[in-house]
Order: sequence, then C-alpha cells, then structure tokens
Amino acid sequence: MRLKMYQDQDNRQRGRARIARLLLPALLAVLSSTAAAAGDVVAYRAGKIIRSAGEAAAPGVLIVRDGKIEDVLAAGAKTPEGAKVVELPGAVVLPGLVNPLSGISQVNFTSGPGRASQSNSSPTDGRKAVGLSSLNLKHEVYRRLGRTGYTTFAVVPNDTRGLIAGQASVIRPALGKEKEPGELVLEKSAYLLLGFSSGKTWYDAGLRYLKKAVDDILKEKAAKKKAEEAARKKAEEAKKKAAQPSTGEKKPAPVPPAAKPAAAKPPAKPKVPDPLVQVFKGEKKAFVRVKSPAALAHFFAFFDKLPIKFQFVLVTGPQPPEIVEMLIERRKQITAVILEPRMGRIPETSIYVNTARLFLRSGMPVAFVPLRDTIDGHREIFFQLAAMVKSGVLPHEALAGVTSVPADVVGLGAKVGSLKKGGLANFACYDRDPLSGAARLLSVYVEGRKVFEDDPSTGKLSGEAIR
Amino acid sequence: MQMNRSWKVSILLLAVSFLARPLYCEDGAAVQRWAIRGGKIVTVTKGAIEGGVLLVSGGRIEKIIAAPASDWKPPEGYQLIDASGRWIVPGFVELHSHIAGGDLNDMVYSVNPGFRTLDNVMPRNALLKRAQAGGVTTALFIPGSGTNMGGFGTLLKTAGKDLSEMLIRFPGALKIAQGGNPERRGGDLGYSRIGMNWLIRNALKEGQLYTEAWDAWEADKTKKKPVKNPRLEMFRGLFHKEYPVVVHTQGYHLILSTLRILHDEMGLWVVIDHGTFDGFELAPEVAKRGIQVMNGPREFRWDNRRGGFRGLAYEWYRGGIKTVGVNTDAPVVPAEELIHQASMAVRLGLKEDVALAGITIHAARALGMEKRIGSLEAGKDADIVIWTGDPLDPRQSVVLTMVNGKIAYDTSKEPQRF
Amino acid sequence: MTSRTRNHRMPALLLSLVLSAFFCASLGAEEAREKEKKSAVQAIIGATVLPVSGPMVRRGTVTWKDGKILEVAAELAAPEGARVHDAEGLYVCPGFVAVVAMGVGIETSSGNIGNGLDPWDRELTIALANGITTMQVLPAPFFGGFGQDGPLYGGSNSAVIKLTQGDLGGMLVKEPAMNYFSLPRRQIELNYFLLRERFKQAKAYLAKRAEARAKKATAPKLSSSLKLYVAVLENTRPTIFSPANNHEVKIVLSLSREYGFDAVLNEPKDAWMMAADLAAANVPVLVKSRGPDFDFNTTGPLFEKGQMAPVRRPAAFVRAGCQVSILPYRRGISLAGLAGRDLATLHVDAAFAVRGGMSNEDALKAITLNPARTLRVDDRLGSLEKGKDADLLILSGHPLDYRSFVLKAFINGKLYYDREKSRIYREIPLTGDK
Repeated sequence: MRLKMYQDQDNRQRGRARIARLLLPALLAVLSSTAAAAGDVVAYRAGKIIRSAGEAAAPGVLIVRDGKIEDVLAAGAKTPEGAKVVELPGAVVLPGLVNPLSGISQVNFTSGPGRASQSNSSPTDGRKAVGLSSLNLKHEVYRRLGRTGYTTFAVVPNDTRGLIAGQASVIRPALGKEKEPGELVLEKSAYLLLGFSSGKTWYDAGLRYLKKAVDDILKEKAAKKKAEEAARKKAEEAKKKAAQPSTGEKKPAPVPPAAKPAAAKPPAKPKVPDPLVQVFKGEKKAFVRVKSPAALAHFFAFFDKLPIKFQFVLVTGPQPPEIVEMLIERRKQITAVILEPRMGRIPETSIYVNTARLFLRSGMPVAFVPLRDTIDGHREIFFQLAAMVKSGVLPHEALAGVTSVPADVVGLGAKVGSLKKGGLANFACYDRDPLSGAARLLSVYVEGRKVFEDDPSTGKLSGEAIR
Repeated sequence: MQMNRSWKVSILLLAVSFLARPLYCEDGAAVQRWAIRGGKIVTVTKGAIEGGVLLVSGGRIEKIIAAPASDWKPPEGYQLIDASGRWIVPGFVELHSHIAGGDLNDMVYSVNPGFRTLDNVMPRNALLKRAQAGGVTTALFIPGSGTNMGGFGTLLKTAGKDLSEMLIRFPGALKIAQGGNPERRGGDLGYSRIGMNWLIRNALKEGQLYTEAWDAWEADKTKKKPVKNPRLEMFRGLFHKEYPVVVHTQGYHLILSTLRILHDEMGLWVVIDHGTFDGFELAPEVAKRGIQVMNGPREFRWDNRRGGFRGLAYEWYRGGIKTVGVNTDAPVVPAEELIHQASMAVRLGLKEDVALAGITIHAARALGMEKRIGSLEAGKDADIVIWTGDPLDPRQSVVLTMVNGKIAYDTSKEPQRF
Repeated sequence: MTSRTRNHRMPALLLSLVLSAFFCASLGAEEAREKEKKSAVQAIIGATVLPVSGPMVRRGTVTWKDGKILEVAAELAAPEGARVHDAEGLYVCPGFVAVVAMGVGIETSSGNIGNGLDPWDRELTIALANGITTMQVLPAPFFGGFGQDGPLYGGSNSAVIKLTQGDLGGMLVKEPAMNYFSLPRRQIELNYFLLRERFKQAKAYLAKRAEARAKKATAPKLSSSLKLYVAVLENTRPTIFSPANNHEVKIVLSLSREYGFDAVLNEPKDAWMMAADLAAANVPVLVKSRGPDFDFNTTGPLFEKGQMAPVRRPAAFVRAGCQVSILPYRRGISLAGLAGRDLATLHVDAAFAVRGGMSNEDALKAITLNPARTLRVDDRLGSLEKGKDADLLILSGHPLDYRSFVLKAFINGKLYYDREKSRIYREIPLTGDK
C-alpha cells in the first residue's frame, strides 16, 4: 500500500520533472529571445576583429545594440551593463562584404558571369528601371544571400546592356520573414548605371539621351536666370518708383489681384525626378561601364564634349598599362574603379597584367565584384582576392576592395563596409584569415541577427535564416 | 657512175659546211663560249671579284680571271658579254618548288613511294620562265604535302631545250610531309599525326628491307634474288644516301619527330624544308645532326609570349644552323621571288652573305650537288645570272640568265619578265 | 590601446609611403609636362632628309611646332630650347600613306567608321611601326588570313585616318573618303545600257533637287538604288573604280568625262597602253608592283600579247603621265608568317616599282605625296613642307632600302612610335647590329 502511494508520488514527481524539463528550454528560449529582442545589448568577444580594411586584426569586443554597432572595445574592457556576451573563440571577425554591382535575386535571375563583365550591346534608355522593382522574393537565391559572407548588395535590373542601364538598389540579405521586397532595401536608388561602346549607334543614343538631358538642364538654368533677371529688374523698378517724390495725389496702393477661386483640381502627383538629370546635377551617383580600350576612347571623346560633366565610378575589364595611365589622368572624373579580380592578357601576347594593382599603385580606389554573380561565386571571392594578392595587390587593398571601397561608392560608407560606431551590425566570422584562401565561413550577422551558421564540428550548415 | 668535178666540189663544200656549222639549239641560241666581264663577280665561296672575267665553255665555267690586264680582250671564239657595272651571281637553287609541272598531289593513298614528278614535268612552262627572270636556275620539283609521302622529286634546271638538257638528277629527293597539310584529308589512316608517322615508318622500313635484300644479292651474300618492285625501287638510292629526303615539317614537336624517326631511326639524309613556327627552338638538335634547313615560305613568327616578331631564318642561324637557306614553296610565293624571300630573311635579322649562300652553295650541298652548282668556280655548271646590282635589293633586277652555258633570258632582246 | 596604435603605425606608414610616392610621381610627371610645353619646338638634326616635294637635303634639319612643320634646311642649327632628335647617319622622310587599306584601326564599322575607330588596335601599331602614318581604311569583310584581298565592293564606306596610336583625337582625318563603285560583272551591252540609264536618272534627280532647293521646297525622295550614282555625280569626293580590262577603263573615262566627276582607277593592269587618254583625263591610278601569288597556271603564256610584267606597270603609268600611287601587296596586316606581302612592307612594294623602271624619287612619291593627292589630303600631308602636318619618320636607312626600319614615327608632331621602346621588333636586329 505504501509502496503504491510512494510509487504514485514518484510517478507524479517524475512526470512534473519531465514536464519541467520540456518546458524549461522553451521558457528560456522565450525569455532569451524576448530578452534579446527587448533592445538588449550583445557583446561579441573575439580574438581577431578587423574593424576596417587597413587595420590589423586585434582582439576586442564588438558591442551591438538594436542592430547597430555601438562600439568596439579593447579586449580587456568592461562590457556594458546587461550585455549578453557571445564568445567567438578562434574567429576572425570581418565587416560584412559589399557587392557594388550585382544582378542577384532579380526576377528571372540566371547564374552567370557578373554584371561587371556584361557587355553593353544596345544603346537603350532604361533609366526608369530600378533594382528594387525586380527583386524576386520567391527566388531561391534571395534566401541564400546571407550564406556568402556578403551582407550588402547593390542590385541592378536584369537587362543592363543599354546606354542608360538602370538604377541600383542596395539590399541586405533576407531573414526569411519579409513579405515585401522593400523591407530589404537600404537605399532605393543608390546610383544610375550607364554604359557605352564604340560605334555610331552609341554616339547617336548619347546625343539623344545624355546631351538632351544636359540641354534640358541648361535650358532650365537659362529660364531660371531669365526669371530671376526679370524679378530683379521688377524689384529695381519698384524701388525706383518708391524713391521718386510723390506727385500730388497718392495713388492707391495696387490691390493684389483677388485670389482665384480654387478649382477642384486633384492634388498634383509628386514629380519623380529624372535620375539622369540628377546625375548631371550632381545629386545622384553614376557608374559607367565601358569595356574595351577603343570604347573608352570613344566614351571620353563623347563625354568631353558635354557642357556639363559628372564624376563617376568606372566599371571596366582588365586593361593594359597604357590604358590604365590614360584613366589615371582622369582621376578627377573617375572616383573609383570596379574590376573583376582576375588578370588580363594583352591581346596578341601572352603577357598577363594585374589591372587592379596598376590602378592601386597610382592611388585609384578599386572595388572588386565576384567573377560569377552566383551564391557560390560570392562565397569564392576570397580565393580570387588571394590570387590578386599573389600578383601584387596588398592584402589590405584586397580586403578594402570588398568592404570599404564598395560601401563608399554606393554611398553607404557610414553604415556598411566597416565596423564603426553607428554603423549597421553586419559582420561575418571566419575560422582564420580569409585571404589565406583556406578560411571557412563560420557565421554571418546582418543588423545584429545571425543569418547563417556553420558548425565545423558536425559539418552541418544551419539554415539560411534563423527564426 | 663517174663523179664529175662539179659533183666532187659540191660534196666537198657540203662536207666542209657541215663540219663548220655551229651547233644550234632549237631556240636559235648558239652553244657558244662566253667571256663575261664584270662588274662584280660574286663567287659566294671565294669572295667577290671586282672587274674579273668569267670564261664559259662547254656549258661549264672554264676559268675565272681575277685581274685581267688593262688591254684584255676576249679570247678567240669567246663572245663577250659586257657586265661592267653589274653583279654576276650564281644561279639560285630552289629546294621546294611545285611549278615545274602540273599536279600537286594525288591523295588517294597516304604513302606513295612509287610516284615520280619526273612523270609530270612540264619543261619550259611559263612559270619556269618567270623563275629564270628571278635568277633561279635550279629547282627541286617535288610533290605537294597533301599526303604523308608524296613521291620522289626531280632536280632540274629551270631552262633547257628539253627535259634531257634540264634534268640534273632523278630522283632528286624523296618528299615526306610529317604534319600539317596531310591532316586536312580527314578520317583516313594517316590524317592524324600518330597515324602518319606509323605509315611513314612502315613504308620506310619496307624500303629499308628491300634495299638490304638487294644489297645482299648484289654483294653475292645471298642466293635468293629479290623481286624487283617499282614501288620500292627508289628507296635503294635513298638508303644508300645518294639523295636526301626533303621533309615538310614545322613546329617544335613535328621537327622532333623528323629528327627521331627519319634521321635517328631510319638513318636517312634529311633536309628540313619549312622549319616554320617555333621549330627554330630545336636548332641545336638539328645542327648536331648536320641537317640543312630551308626556311619558308613563312619567314616570321608573331611571338605571343613577347608581343613581337621573330625572324625564323635568323633564329635558325642563331641556334646553330649556319647554312640556313630559304624557299618559296612556289607558287605559294612565286618562284621568281626566291630572292625576295632571302631579302626578307635579311630584313628580319639574317646577315646578307649568309642569306645569299643559303640559296646557292648551301642549298646545292643539301642535295649533294655542290660540285656542280651553287657558286662561281671553275669546273662548275655555267649557271650564271647578271643583275643590275645587289640581288637582295628589290630595286635591282636580272638582265641575263644563263643556264648550262646557254642564255635563257636576256632583257636586251626580250621584255623584262620580273 | 597601445597594441592597437602600434599595429596601426605600419599600415599608416605604408599608406603614407604609397601616397607620397604617388605625389612625387605626379610631381615628376607635372615637371615633364611643363618642360614639354616650354620646348614646343622639336627638331631633327643631322639627317639625310627626303622632303619628296624637293630634292634630298644632306645633313638636314627639320623643325616643327604645334604639329606643323616650320622648316626643312641643310645644316641648320636647332632653335633655342627645342627638343632635339639627333639623326646623324639616318634618313628622314614623310610618313607613308597607304592609299587603300582594310581592317586596321577599326573596332566596329556599324553606322560609320569614325565612331568605331580603335586607336589601340595592334594591327595599327604594326602598320605604324613600318612607317604608315596615314591610310584610307575600309572595314574588313572577314578576319585576317594572309591580309585582305577581295574586291572593293561598290557602296563601301571608307575613311582617311592617321595612325595616332593611343589617341582617338586626331585619328580621323575625313570620312567618307571616296565613293566605291562596282562595274557590272558581265560586260554585256544591256548592263552598260542600264548603267548609263542610272546615271541619267541620277543627273535628273540632282536637277530636280537643285530646283526644289531654289524654291525652298522639300527635296524629292531619293531611291536607294540611285544613292550611289547621285553621290558619284555630286563629286564631293572622287570615285574609285576597279576596271577588269582596258575596255572598262574606256567606259569609266567616258562616263567621267560626260558627267564631270572625278574617277580613280584601282589596279587598271595594262591601261598604261591608253597613256594619252589617262593623262588627258588626269585620273589617278592605284597600282600594285608585283603579280599575284598562288598562280598555278603552268600552261598559260608568259604574258598576254602586248602586256608587260606586273613589276613594270607602275613605271609604265608614270611614263604615261599618270599620278601613280603604289598599293600594298595586300591591304591588311597579316601575322600568318609570309613576309613582304602585306601592308607592313609598303616601302618594299615601292622598291619593286623601282625594279620595274621607276625612279627612286617617283617611287617614294608614290607612297607619300601621290596617295595624299589622290585622297585629297595633300594640303596637309604627304611631303615635308612648311605648314604641313609634322608626320615624319626617322629611318635606319633610305626608305626604299629593304633593310630599313622606322626608328621613330611622328604624327602631328608627336612621337607615336619608338623602336627602342616598342616590343614589336625587339627581337629583330638592325642592319648595323648583325
């Protein structure tokens, strides 16, 4: 009898324990997630943090609050109150990589070479096309962007072979819960992509679109000036009249015309500014893609004749030294160069040239895009950068080429591309120096949230997004 | 019947006139003795002689008078050719010509050791006449390179009353093409390099065994008389080194197989007859074996590794082939432009005297004919060409071509052909 | 903190080194540019100068400034502050003019040639390295091979370009350069009747258009079949014909006389027989100085009755009183390996004309001033005269010497080719070095 009672008691206790065992982790998970979500501070401690390309890796603590970087403290510093500490032993922490020119996650995206090597083939006008409008939330690749180590992508519309190719939108990798493409967007229209090739059709199109935009701006300026002149003259006249002595009867002050009765007009649609005009006015960044030396010569012949010029980022292929020299002379117009990380062969020879190195030695900033615009292509970027380093690019220049330089050229240098105060908490952890070419990507964080984790001990890749 | 006096006189007169008449060849040029007064006599082998005299008789150079006396006159019976202010140069020797007859290739079988260009020579054709105007007096007329073994070529002079006058030697040489053109045949055995080298070795081996069998029979070393086989008969002279094999071969790996198979394995006397592309990189190996190289018709290579031109004859020379010559592969380059090929070799780096020797004495020696042709020396064939000046200068031209002591081309009597 | 700052010093030092190096380099470049601006005058001294428009000048000096020739004189000292090129023992002559070339310096020819030029074309560099500074170029119908040899098709577009390697500006001289006209292939009377009809229609069209213009009305529509004929009759540029025989030459001359347009004859073979007609018509001729290769005709006669060896033709046309331009043996640059048979040896083609009886002076003129005249650019180039463009060559020997190489090539006064610095002939020794 007693035995049975004790047995029942034991069973009940065991049952309660079992329930508690089941509930506790869930409870903890809920508590921790809510704790984490509740604007909490997370301190990531790692032995090697590279805050930005050019700085040496140093042990430290990365303080993240609300998806932004609050600070990077020294190794032994005191973590803030209530900060959850995450240890990243053995990890090399890098800023998340930035791709300044990609077609990934577009509607109808097909794998292939990058947009940097796409040739301009038809001098069409695609200025209205915006990368954002072609984002495809249903596409597989869109969910996998976070597995690459890249945390920022400037995506252009699919067909970028025209004279005015389209506008680029800067996006982050998805976390999985987004319903609208707009949720990914950091900057809707970061720059306008232009292209040029040799041949009369391009010159004609250039006159039709580029010159026309310039002419319109000049006309507007002239009209504005005229209006100002007229207004100024009127004011002068008025002044003169006022200064004259009154000739007897005071004239009644002119009555302003009665306000017209407001007609039932629908509110005017806010005029969407023309991105090409914005480029000429210096209000929007421009990328110009020109591939061959002859096409470059023709582009500059055309460009030099425009009454209004603009600064731009040049997207081009491998070039021999004399072409690099020619481009360096235009340092004031070309603010940076985007290249593929590969050697180029001088035609009719077996002589290979590292164009990136030539540019970098002359002080021109260089950003790299992966050779293939695919998930694996992005994951392989460090092999290609290692090849660049082998042929003369300095390691910090290689790293800058996928972090700070592309961040700057798309205008988001304050937010991405380096781990600085106020920047987004986009970073990736590798198991060793990524430029060794042998590094494994351990985890990727986008705005403080882990989007990818690779467990080296089990070989298991954990999710494209953590729920 | 008793002959009366008038009959006797007539017979006597006839007899005398018969004996006295000079021998004429068909085109009316007398077989004469000549005294050619220079000008500059370029002997090639023994330097240049200013103002010397060449005496020609019986179709040969009889003598060279280096410093004739101030009152020198041509000897009795010698017709003077005044070449003062001109250059007197030996006739050139072309080792790769396809214009002395019709047909280039018969491409049913890959290996044709029984073929003879002797059988389709067209003596005195227009293209040979143009060759004379380019100073070419000897040509090796070989089959094309459409097959691996095209047949045996004919060594002949470019001028003469008929084939017997023109013929120097048949067989002149065997023609083998060890790569390149035979590969265009497509599909049949021998169109790949591995196949063609097998066919070549097989055929040569067959010829070698045939030769050995006949050698044994003729030395009374065996009682078994071999069967005469016209298909293999000409291999006997080849393996006895009476004449060489001229090989269409180019590029490093092709020339390597030429050295290994034809020279080292088969023991043949080899002449390399293109040597284009990067073949010159094998020059030391070729020189070690004492093999002559006639470069052409391609004379330069665009070197991708360096982004510039390489002169092929010059590179062969630098690599050790001091006797390098050029060819035209006429009509790829017209036969009369053999000298132009030499000029281009000079432009691309070769020394002038080397270039000239390459198409005269060294080409002659490549065929074993150095005792007869290739230089202006007493006893050699009177193949003499008179130029307005340095033949390597394209601005100069031929004024007279003499072959075997007979004038074949004379611009004072006929329009300039080249 | 200390560890971090110590780590930062190295990259910072590197960065500052790189920057200062760049700065110094740019300073140096700046200085060099200043120097070049100050000494805008350049001079070649001590050379044997062949101006083409005048006799040879020994120990000559040629000076130029702002791309134009100032003076050509014997034993003249270089002006103060001029940049001097010592050419003792060397020759100087005008840059060669290839009167017809194909496929050189063009990246794309859709629409026109001028917008598709490629100043970095390797074939252009090779042509320049061999002395060609100006050419009339047509798009190449097919790639490479032994160097572009097909017929010149009617309606082809062409441009006169300078071979300003690396510089698009200054490359295009004029476009279109000439009209290209194809005569009917089969010489039956019907074809020529139709040809004449077209010319009549074109003339009528021009009259109507002039009328419309006078009345300020819209011009009548021009059908595409008449376009070329109208262009020929407008005569804003000459028209090139490629007559197959003397009969066609007669037709061309009669048409040009009747309709008053300027014709140029491309490879008129034995039209030197029509000496009087050609001289009277003042029609320039373009002639090759050698016959074709790959000629298997063993059975034919040496030459047709009355004809002469190709090498003698250029001189025959000169004797006939024609303005002769030497054509390159083939119109393009070939890297296939045959030497002396393409655009790279234009001076050797001129030498062959001397073989055929031309004087050295006439032969040099035939690859300089005469092509410039034919192309209607002789006001600017083709000879070394005061006021003309400074397009000139310093050569290792006489330009017609087959061994001569271009040591330096100047176009518009700027040095565009220097044999010592170029890779193209680095492995080829000069005559003196052999």
